[in-house]
Amino acid sequence: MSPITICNANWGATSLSAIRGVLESVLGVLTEAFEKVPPEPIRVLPWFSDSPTVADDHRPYEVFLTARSRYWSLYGFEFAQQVCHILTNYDNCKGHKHKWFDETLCQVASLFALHRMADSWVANPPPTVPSASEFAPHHREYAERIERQHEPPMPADLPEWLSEEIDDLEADSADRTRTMTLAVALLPAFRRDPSLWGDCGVLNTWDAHSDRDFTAYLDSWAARLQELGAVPRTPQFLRRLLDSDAVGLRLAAMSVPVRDPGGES
Amino acid sequence: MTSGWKFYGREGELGALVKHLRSDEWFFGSISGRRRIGKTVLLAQALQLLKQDIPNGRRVLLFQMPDSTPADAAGVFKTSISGGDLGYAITDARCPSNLPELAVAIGDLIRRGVILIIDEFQSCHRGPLRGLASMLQFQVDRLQDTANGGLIVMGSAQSKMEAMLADRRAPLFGRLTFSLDLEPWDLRTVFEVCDQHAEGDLERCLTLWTLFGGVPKYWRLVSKTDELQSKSDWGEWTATLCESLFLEHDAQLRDEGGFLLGPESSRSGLAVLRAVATTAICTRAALREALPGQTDIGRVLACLVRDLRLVTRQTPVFAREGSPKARYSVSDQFLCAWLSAVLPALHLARLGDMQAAVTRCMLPRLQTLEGFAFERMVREAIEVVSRAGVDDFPLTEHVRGYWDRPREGSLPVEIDVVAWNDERRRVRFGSCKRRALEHTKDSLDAFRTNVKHFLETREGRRFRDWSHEYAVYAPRFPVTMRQCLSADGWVCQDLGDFRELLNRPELGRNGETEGSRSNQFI
Repeated sequence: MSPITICNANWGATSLSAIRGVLESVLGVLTEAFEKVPPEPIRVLPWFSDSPTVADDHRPYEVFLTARSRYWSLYGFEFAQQVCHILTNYDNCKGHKHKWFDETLCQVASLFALHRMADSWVANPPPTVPSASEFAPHHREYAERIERQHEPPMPADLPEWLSEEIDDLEADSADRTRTMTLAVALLPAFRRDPSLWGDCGVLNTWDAHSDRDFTAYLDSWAARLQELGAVPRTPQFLRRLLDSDAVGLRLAAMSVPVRDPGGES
Repeated sequence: MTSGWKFYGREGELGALVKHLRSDEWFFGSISGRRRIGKTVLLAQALQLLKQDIPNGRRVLLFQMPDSTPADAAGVFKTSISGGDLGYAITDARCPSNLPELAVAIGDLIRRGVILIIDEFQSCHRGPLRGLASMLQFQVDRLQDTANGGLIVMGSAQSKMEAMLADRRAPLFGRLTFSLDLEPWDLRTVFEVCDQHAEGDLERCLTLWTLFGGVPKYWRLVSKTDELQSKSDWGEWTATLCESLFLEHDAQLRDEGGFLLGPESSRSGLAVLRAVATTAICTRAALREALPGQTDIGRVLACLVRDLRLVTRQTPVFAREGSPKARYSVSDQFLCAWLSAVLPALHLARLGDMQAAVTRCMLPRLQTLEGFAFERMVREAIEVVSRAGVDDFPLTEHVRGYWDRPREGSLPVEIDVVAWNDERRRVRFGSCKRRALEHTKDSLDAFRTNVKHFLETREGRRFRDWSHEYAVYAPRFPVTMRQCLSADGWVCQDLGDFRELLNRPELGRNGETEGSRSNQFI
């Protein structure tokens, strides 16, 4: 039984079964990467606003998509982002200032899913989507178009870029231009080593409001993974990628002491 | 032209229709739109989608209402039922032989979960079948709590459909659960079809749009015309198009205009319609001049505009409702082209002079029409682009035009495009030319003078302190000309620019249509 229900509504020129085929494909990619399934079923509804969303505190989860008709890549892009929010426990810890990282990570998930579907639809096309294997390369085209539009700084310049942008990111986590730029920078690592997603499934399971800066947030994440007996690879990777003298100085100048893994600050 | 025709556009209408078909609740819907607009194709496509979601699902019956007697209508209904193997569904009802029994049989059928589609429902507006709508009212009211059944009425005469469904005094008023009024394709779809079936040639796109508007069936006929494939020159291509679709003795659209007008068109109505079409756009004074003996022009025009909607009345921007400056044009582009260019050529073709019919009669008139059609296309394109939110000029009102004849002897003032944004206090004035090279220095100077005159009028005064933009439009601008015009501050847009803007790359690639096109009805 599929955990996804597509609500009967005006979805344009497509059947519900074709939409379900696309969304199940997305869900398959992300549950495999996260090694985790959504804890509750997902209801999918059409949305008439600018951007897709997942409703807070609703079970079954309610995901609203702006995609219509047979724009399969757009469905994939939007749904992957919302599934990532679900798998990262989005409404377990609301309103903290590090939500920009959730947004960034879920945009990485969108691009990641499209690249994966570009491959998986050739070998294993969803049966309810007409000509899915012929469509497969368009997922990659779609992802690459977004990547070209949000060209990130060089890896060496990333810490400095983040130190300049972090105030704005914390003030407005929905700033898609900035989060997508960072997402494009992070994507190659997640594509190279999909096991990095495994650590993301514990996000928002601690009180991130008490993490005064991003370094503290990464430390809390690592601590949470250690509590669960896992090696905190992803937070360490991010720290290496995003931290440097430049960003370190800035973070030090504006932050209180970093919370240690034991929880004392 | 290439083969491989599929279902184009109408995504919103299709989604709305299939949503109702999938629903477990009773529905009573109407689908209206001119002849050839694609009502049946839309329905067939919706049923195809429905089959993907409910493989052994709904039983659907199409009943084509004949424009004849109650007994004949009942007979056609019985034939449809038996053809659809639904005889069991009316076993406990009497086999209908008159209108009351037909209404009861329809109710019985739907109550058993069948979705019944009555085509040509406008036949029930007048004549021997006119009582059926009242009899259906009783059935429809009793079907409110039925599951899995539905009634869809389809018809091509908008005014007659409205008289039976939307008029407050109509028996079925207030009963509809949905209503779809199919308009011609929007320009985004026209460009898509042009890309796939006219090699993306925008000159040809304009010609086809002038002749057919956005009526799907006509474009499909073009896509099936093999003779066009070898024609590279526009004149030769257009001549072949006109001959094969309109002028040859077995041409499919030879009598289409007559079918559209129907047998009920009055002589005086036809005369006025033809006069309006001949000039493409005309004033009431010009009509009086063209039809000196006709004394009822005002009454006929009012009927053509208000009741039959065959003619559109336009006024200059901000003009009073009853302004004498009003202009009239034939609403339907196909009908306009048929009356103005095809019909006169047909007379010559019937006498056997095909060459003269095409080159001396049809092509010159078509070129004139293209100029007016291009203006219409630009206004529509500006609006579609604004609705899609893909241009830097979002509109807050419909695009309008302005015209005036200031005083005796002076040249008329004409501004093809007046588009504005109230919030940003920006106004764009545009001039449309059928050929880019017609935007000469003199014409551009004259255009600026026209705008200056407009800004001094009562209507234009409100724009005086706004930001003014000057735009030129043509089907295609040569690169160097575009550079020069842009350097002089002109906004320069051609059909290629609009096509690019409407391409919406942010949506990604559209996937293949689901299912093959086949007869989906029982």
